Amino acid sequence: MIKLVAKKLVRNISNNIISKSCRITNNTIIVNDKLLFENNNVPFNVFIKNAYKYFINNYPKFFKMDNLSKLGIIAVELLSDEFKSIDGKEIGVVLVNSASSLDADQTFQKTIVKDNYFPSPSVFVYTLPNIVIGEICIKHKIYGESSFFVSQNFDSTFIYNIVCDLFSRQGINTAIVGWLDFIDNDYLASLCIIKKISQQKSNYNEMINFTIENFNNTIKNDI
Amino acid sequence: MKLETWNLIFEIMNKVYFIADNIISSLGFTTSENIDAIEKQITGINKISDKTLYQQPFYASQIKNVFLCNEFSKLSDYKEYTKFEKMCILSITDAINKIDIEFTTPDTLFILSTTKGNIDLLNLNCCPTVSRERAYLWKTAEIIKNYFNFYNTPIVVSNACISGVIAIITASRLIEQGLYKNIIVCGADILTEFVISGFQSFMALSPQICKPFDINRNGLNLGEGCGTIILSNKPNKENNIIYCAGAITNDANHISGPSRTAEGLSIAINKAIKQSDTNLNENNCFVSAHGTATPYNDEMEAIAFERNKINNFPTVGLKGYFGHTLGAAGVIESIASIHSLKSNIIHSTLGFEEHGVSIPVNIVTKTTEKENEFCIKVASGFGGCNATAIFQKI
Repeated sequence: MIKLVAKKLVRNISNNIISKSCRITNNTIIVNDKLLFENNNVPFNVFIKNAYKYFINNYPKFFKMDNLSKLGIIAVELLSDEFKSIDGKEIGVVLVNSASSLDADQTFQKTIVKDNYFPSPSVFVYTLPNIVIGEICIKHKIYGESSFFVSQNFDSTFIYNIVCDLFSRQGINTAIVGWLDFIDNDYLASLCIIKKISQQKSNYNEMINFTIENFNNTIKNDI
Repeated sequence: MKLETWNLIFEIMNKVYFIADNIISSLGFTTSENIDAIEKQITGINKISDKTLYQQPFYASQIKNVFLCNEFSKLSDYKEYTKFEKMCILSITDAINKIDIEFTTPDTLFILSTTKGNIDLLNLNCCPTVSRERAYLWKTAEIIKNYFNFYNTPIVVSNACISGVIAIITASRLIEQGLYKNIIVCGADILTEFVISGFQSFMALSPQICKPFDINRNGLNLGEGCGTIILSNKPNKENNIIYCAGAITNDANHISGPSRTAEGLSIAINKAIKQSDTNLNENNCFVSAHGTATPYNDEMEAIAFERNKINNFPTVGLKGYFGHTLGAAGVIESIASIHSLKSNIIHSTLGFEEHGVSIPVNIVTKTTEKENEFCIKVASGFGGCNATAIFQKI
């Protein structure tokens, strides 16, 4: 009985908000349901380079990154005004995908075949899915909790529970959360910013409560 | 919210008990075989000459395929599963068999910790009859889940070399919140041409058996292995170790080089110690280091230990026994730490001879009898990630 009460309390205090979302897929970039950028009929590398020039353009490290990192860096850039003034120790990053780093893995595998053996550290380092989290943390000086999970579909309940725990017990008040997948030139970034309600500012016109249902609707990972 | 309410929540938060485990490595197929070898200071690292893995001979810890298939054929047809899956299934089976709990119910979750899973399947010559879909980590987890008939869709943690510690921290938090009764955490990685060539391209591999924290350390040895640990909200008789605290951080500095100021690891240790809300000192606590034996990693760890004033705590590095087992390392080394706490024996840092980091660290050099109440387990990895978990004997 007493445990039930506690669970309820934890749930109630986790009454947080989804403050901004960004979705990149099929050569389009959508922020809070508004189309911000479109570059039709070009391959991913051209599309993402053009997006970089349009939105960032002063971070040459971008060109060394693999596809997954480029995708993540652009998506988080478009959400970054939501956490610019927050202490980096209080920001968390929780990302999920299906293909892990298989895109970079395939690139690296091609460099270790017989008669064409030239493995390079700059390719190998991207053969881990959490490298994109490292890139995001470097660019935005984020020191807080970060984890990368892999599942076939986005398990909104699981991630919801992880984020609620970050907010209630791990000293995190802002989280960059969502789905970030790249494989065989199919890609989807669907990320959002979750904020602790005490962080809420009055100028949010459309406030979305952080519930499992709203969270699931925000991320919807159907490619 | 009022402070009393917070206290109430903390007080009735579930405790997390480590109730069963297994280690599979070149040192043996059970936890006790592995712990016995560590206590006797026997290494599982050997010189390997296998051109399908690397052109030149190299040092690594390798599980003989013949042994693995022999053991596995007692359970099922070994041809249906990859080496990675066989290790996981064998390890989980051994851990589960130690306790009398039904694991196929909705209150049990399976978490797989791995960096590369079945990455050998990208080589088309490897296991030609096995579907390439199994290179997807969730697919590998699903194959293992189906073998055991677990109820829930498994979770995969793939977060470089801290995967195992993140898996244990995540599992503990889910149980603390009352979301599951039991969580099976299995961490595994195998030796592949893919990983060996990558680490070699980084010049990170040692041409001898690795020497953590030593003046002459010159790189790591890779290893393959699997560790399974079962966490529960209920204690069982022989097990008196609980999860006490944990934190995960990022250096925000470099994707492959450790931070020179040890920023991320320092914050992780600091957060975990604060969260533990206990008085840790050199008499009641030891440190299980990451200790890969690369020049930069061990130096970075020493700085983080000093910044948190724990560099005088007895410190153990186990890479000289297992090599670096990547996604398994955090799980295997946590299991060894838990057994250290239980048996009052601190393991030795095999390979260490002469102190070789800029900060004095109290490295344990031989198997020592000593009672401890706490262990601080740390890990760091590519992507600038760091994790710290604290275990406690009750």
